[in-house]
Amino acid sequence: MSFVVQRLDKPSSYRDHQYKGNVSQFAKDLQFSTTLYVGNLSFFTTEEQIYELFSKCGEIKRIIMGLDRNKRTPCGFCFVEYYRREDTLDCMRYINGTKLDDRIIRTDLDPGFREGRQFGRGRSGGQVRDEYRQEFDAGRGGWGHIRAKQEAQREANIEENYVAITSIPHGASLEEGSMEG
Amino acid sequence: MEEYNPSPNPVMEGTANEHTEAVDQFGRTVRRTHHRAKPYDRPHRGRDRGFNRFGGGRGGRNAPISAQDRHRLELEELEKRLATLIIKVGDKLSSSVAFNLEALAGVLCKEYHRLSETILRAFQGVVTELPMKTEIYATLVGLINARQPEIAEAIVRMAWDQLVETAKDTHRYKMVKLWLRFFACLTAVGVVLPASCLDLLRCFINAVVRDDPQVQDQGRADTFVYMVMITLPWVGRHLDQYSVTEMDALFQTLQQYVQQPSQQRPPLALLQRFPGLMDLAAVDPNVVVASPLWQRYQTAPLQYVYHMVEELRQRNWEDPIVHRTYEKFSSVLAPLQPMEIMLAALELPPPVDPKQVTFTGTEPDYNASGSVSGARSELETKVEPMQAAFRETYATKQRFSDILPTPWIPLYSEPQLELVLDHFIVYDMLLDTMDIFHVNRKDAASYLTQLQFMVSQVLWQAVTTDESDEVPPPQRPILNIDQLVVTSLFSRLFQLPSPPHKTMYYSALTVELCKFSHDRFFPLLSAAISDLFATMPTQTLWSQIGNGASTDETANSTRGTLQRLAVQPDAGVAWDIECIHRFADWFAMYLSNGNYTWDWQAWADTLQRCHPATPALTFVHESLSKCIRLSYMDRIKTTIPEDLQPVVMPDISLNPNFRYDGSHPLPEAIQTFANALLDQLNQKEPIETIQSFLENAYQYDLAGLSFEELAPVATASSQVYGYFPQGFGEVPSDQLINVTVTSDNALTRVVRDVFVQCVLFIGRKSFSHMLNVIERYLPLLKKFGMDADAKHHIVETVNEFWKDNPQFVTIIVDKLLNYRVVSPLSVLTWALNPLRVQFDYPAPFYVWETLRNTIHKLESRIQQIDRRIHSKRSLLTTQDTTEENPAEVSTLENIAQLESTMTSLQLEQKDLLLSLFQNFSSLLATTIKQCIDKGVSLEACQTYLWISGRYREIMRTYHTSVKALSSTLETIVFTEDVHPLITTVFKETLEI
Repeated sequence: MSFVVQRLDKPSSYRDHQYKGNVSQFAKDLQFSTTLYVGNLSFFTTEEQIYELFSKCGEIKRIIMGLDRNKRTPCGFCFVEYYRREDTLDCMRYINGTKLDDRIIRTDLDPGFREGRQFGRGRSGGQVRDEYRQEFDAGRGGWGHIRAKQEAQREANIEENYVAITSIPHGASLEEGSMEG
Repeated sequence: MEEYNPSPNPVMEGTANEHTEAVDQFGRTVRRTHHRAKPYDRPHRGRDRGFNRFGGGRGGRNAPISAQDRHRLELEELEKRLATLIIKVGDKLSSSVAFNLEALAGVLCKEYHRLSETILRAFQGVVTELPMKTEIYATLVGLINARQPEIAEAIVRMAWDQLVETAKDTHRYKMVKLWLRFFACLTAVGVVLPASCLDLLRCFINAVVRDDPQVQDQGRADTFVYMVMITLPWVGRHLDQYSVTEMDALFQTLQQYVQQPSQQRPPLALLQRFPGLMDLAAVDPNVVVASPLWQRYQTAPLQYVYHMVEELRQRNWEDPIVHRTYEKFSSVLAPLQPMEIMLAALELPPPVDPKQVTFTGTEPDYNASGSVSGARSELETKVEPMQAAFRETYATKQRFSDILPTPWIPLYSEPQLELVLDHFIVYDMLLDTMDIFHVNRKDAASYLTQLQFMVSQVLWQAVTTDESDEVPPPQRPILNIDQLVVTSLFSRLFQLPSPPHKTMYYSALTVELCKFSHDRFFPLLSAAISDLFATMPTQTLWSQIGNGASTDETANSTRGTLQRLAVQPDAGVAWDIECIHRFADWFAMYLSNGNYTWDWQAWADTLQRCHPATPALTFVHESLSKCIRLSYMDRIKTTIPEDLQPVVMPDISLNPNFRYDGSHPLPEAIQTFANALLDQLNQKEPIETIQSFLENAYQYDLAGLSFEELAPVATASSQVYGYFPQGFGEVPSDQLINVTVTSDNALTRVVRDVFVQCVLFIGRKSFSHMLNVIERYLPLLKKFGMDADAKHHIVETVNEFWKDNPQFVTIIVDKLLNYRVVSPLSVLTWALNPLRVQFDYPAPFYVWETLRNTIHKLESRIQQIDRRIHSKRSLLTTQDTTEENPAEVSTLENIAQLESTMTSLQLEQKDLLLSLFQNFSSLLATTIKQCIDKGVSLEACQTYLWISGRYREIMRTYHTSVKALSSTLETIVFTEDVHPLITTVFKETLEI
């Protein structure tokens, strides 16, 4: 019924690319879902911090931390499941876009957690976005993976070509006035 | 205003191939790839996989658009543009408003033939969702009326249908108020006859006057009267011009109503956000936060509004709040022929006596399906009393709720900023805006910040004349709208028993306001927070604590150097405890979203001389511990000045308090047993192995221990822990054990303690680890929690294990409740342990949060099942009940099942509430006795302050359930020999 007000509790245009099912199934899942995807977390944010913030909108059923596929460490996202649908929507209205651990977090309605979704899908094991990220982000492991490799390469180059000279090469003389000769 | 362009977007005109030519207002070319396409290259993504149908932008969209499609797209585009134009018109009251309105009226008339539905819907939307611009839209209708009267008529008819429809529903009276305002403005513009408008208003008044005096439906009557009065400012002048005598009569009726003795009711003390503020103001007129108007509104809101309206009438309705855009069009609007409205269709809901148990329309008809199964009807008769009462309150508690604005909090103490009568209308609008936009806090913030452009400048700016430099003194107080926004925000946050939306909304809205206009709101919020903090008591009033006795010595020794000050006149205003709690939660969220920057130095002096357990210090403590939960200890520590850290930093540590880590002096047998068990749990041994291991321990390993060796471990977890060790009045530990151990249960308790502690230790790493390990050993945990004592012991063990990290206690107890390892009753026994009265600060927030969650869990479960029964029943009534339908039979079985669950849940809730209030009553009785024995007044007793505050909180939060149980409570708990202070709260609860 709302005409002027654009509701914030609408799902975003994001689709899970590995979702098995068709469009209408997806829409139906979202309509009754009590699960939220939470993004842009710091790698250091703990489950308890997430619990503290998200429980302000209602009782939480479970939290599934997103993990790096290879390292099994948090990689900046999670799923939060509530018991009730209203709480899920309230979370979209009130918590989406606020700060947790000094970062603005993003929440999105999710069709529901399935085993395997807790792992990052990027080539290096983390989230895809961290693969291509060009900015330095201390809360998410520094440079993006591709950029990190480039940086490492650059460092190596510097090391090789411009490494500080600590010893004087053999052959040169330290004697004073030797240059004059 | 956005320029109106009737020809559709150029993008739409050619085929899709011409896209590249289109340039937007910033000169950027239109993006060709789908908005979801990533800026970086991701090869190997087939476009037919799952949802990625638009991927890559290869083909697919290049097919030429058919003529039909193009027409549809054109229309859609046009609809969108029209809607935006209607929404945006009059957002700023500048000189261009008149021009824009006229242009828009022209467009609407032109497009009405093909977009009538859109236009009507738009009007419906803007009237109900933009309460501050009703007058603008009424003017727009007037301009349309001047061009094409039939369109205006259609709009008025739509508005009337809406009014009639919403007026039937007692839950939607806020909207009826907005429709009434629209009709008032339409009358002022000249679209509707003044006589019709007057009739409409009288319709509401007469409904009140003609009612059966036997039926006391105060809520309904107040709502109707309020709606009429709040509508009058928009149309009063025109109604007076129409007929002074009739208006006189109307005012007389209103006056008679508001001067009834029933209107002069002192507000319930139970719902006071600052109890004692009124008395304080009566004694000392210089009290900072006292304001006579605020008081007047609080004691008799309708009288206050009546005076406002009457004063306006005496000023000949010269009110800058009500701006009159239509006056600019008087030459166009004057010759119009106003419409008449048929009032016959308006049906107002009949009065309902709240004391009589009647089923309202939303209730299912129990008789219709009552004769189907014998077992079920038997069930129904068994539970009927509680259920009927419960359902009745559940269905009717929302009647006409919140139509009268909640009293504002006199935040800003400067007299010129007081909320004078005219400003009340703005306050009302602000609250409406906050409620309407709760689904989009960003829009809410944007409208709240823009509001100043929507009311006349006279109101919020001192008028300067060009010639002289002197600013003439304003005729009436200048309204600071931003300040009023902050005031409304806090009024809602502190609304009792509960605000219309989750308190989190108000936190989020505050953050959004700061984002929108940091410069405007940051200083105001800081000032408001400091003002609120300044009113909190910082001193305890113990002037003559105890004359001897051991407790006094204890107090002496532990409080050390703390000075015992005499009664302080600046002790602050008594705050409601729940409001302190909400304020702390809100403040933590505010800090968390503002990088935890706060000028703590400004509060340093106050905090340094705070007595322990006083509201001011506790507020800071609890806010900081919430901040630590949202962030981490070291982060918060860096934000606090060093000299203040020992005073305010809560003592939180992430490390568990594990008894069997080898550092505690324990009988060797127990330590060995614990180590072995820990090993087994670590190796994830199956449950059978663990069980036989435990049984072995009973028979052999631990059997040789004497009672003296067992007893200390068996009782260890039953200590009541003070949450803040620094100076918060620790009591020697041996006085804090409230359990009797016999040789029978000592061993069991020890084994239980070892097992539960080891399980908790294994799952200490995170919430998920904990859940995992609990789930793995759930049957064993359940076995250990067979009876009430055992369950209580488990709760205490959890509390002791995580005593330095209370968040975990709350989470784990919550999960154990879900798994039914512990019962609500056991949480209650723990939270309301009689030994708590020995602490000055008996009620750390986490204990109450745990208790509140426990009660809430049961309540929401009941509501959920109730809703499910309703929906199942509605399925039944739609089908033919005479036929033997297999689907129907299964539904009936389903209902029967749900109802038996309901019965057991309700019995559980009844038990819980009964013992809850019993425990509260005895706790309070002990505290009162303690105070009398020591010769301390109750106001000076921190223990009493905290416990009674929580008691009041729970009473009013669950007032519907309390009412349903009132007779039982009266006979069992609140008997005549209970202290009147305790029963008063109960009696007030019944009046909510």
